Amino acid sequence: MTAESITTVLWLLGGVTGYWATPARWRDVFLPTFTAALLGYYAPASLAALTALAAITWLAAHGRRSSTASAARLMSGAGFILLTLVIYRISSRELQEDGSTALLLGFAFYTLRLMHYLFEVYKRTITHGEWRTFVAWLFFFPSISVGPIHRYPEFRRDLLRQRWDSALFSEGLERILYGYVKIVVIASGLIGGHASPWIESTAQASPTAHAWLLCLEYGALLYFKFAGYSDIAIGVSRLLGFRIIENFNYPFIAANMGDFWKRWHISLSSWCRDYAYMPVWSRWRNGALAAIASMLILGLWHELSWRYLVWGLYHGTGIMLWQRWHTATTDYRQRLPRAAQWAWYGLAWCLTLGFVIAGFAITRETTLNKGIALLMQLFGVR
Amino acid sequence: MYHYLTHYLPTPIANTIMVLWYSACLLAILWYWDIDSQAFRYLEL
Repeated sequence: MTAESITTVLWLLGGVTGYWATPARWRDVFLPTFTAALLGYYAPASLAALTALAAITWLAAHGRRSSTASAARLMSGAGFILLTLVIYRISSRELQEDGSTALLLGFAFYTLRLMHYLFEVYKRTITHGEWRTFVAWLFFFPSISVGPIHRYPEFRRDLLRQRWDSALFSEGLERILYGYVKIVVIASGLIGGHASPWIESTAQASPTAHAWLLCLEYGALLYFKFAGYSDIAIGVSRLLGFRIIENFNYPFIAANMGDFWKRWHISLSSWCRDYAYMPVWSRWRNGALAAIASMLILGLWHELSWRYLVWGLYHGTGIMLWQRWHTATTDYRQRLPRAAQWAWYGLAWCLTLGFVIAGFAITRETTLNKGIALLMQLFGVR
Repeated sequence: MYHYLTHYLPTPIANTIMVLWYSACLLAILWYWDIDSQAFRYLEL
């Protein structure tokens, strides 16, 4: 099921029409019912797995009233979900190698949302269970396939406030249009159709420039496709009257690695900030350790493989180096004349962009060895 | 985008620009429309 297929567009139209045609008090029932029909049609195995995990999470969060055993139960629930994600990641790698289509739709995003729910119940920011809202949030069809990883409290707020808002509906249509432009026109049409053949033709002329172009092409494709999907998900959510978290905010204008990760896949990086970076930082008061731990988790969430482990380490190290550099140079930088500060900013932007593009070399290739070879080629080493 | 246009331009001109802009986007999508589900598989995480 991909967003650019006509059938999916028709499903989405049906979902939006059905949602507003349903009486207000039954809309939280309509959302999961519609998603279940969609999943049952496209991926029945996904429907069974996601429903089972939702039930387990609900029992872990609200199974018994007593609060004494709740911490252990919540953490066991989160551990179980993490275990299913690990098993899924291992098995899906084999399935992908076999070309099988039995992958579970949106499973990796879904597990992060379940863990978010359990952690927030543990922190007592979610104090009482409302199972209809819980199920409607989990089975929210605009974001179930590829995110964004939207949070429960915001969803609940929008569900309670739900009313027709023509301005929001219009914004939604605009975002969907821009999403399709990003995926179909820029990514598939301009980059895939025009830029890629030209990049291939540069291989003989300059291997180093070719390597940079390959990484740039991969990063641009990844960005425009994923940002396009996020635009469609955000747009469809707005058609239903929900404002869900943004996923990208011009990541390539970032002038440091900390800023980059506040702009790239925001819903995932903020998840890692809240549930990996902050706990590690609170426990050990060590920003470097927290950065590396959270980026390792972020990397391995994408794929359980050496290349994503190295990619996570690469970005964790980048954030750590930036933190040290920022602390060491802040006073000096603030005393510089304005023109020098702008030059400093420009240089920082170039370095950040170069670091990010070089990092794409690690994940662009199918194995770590090939990725490292491409990374070396960026610097003229063959 | 419409908000910014109406801030700086008279509404009929802003409306015309928006209609042309949306039409251009739609035409570009139709021009490049090519369903290639394999190319999107890696995003189905």
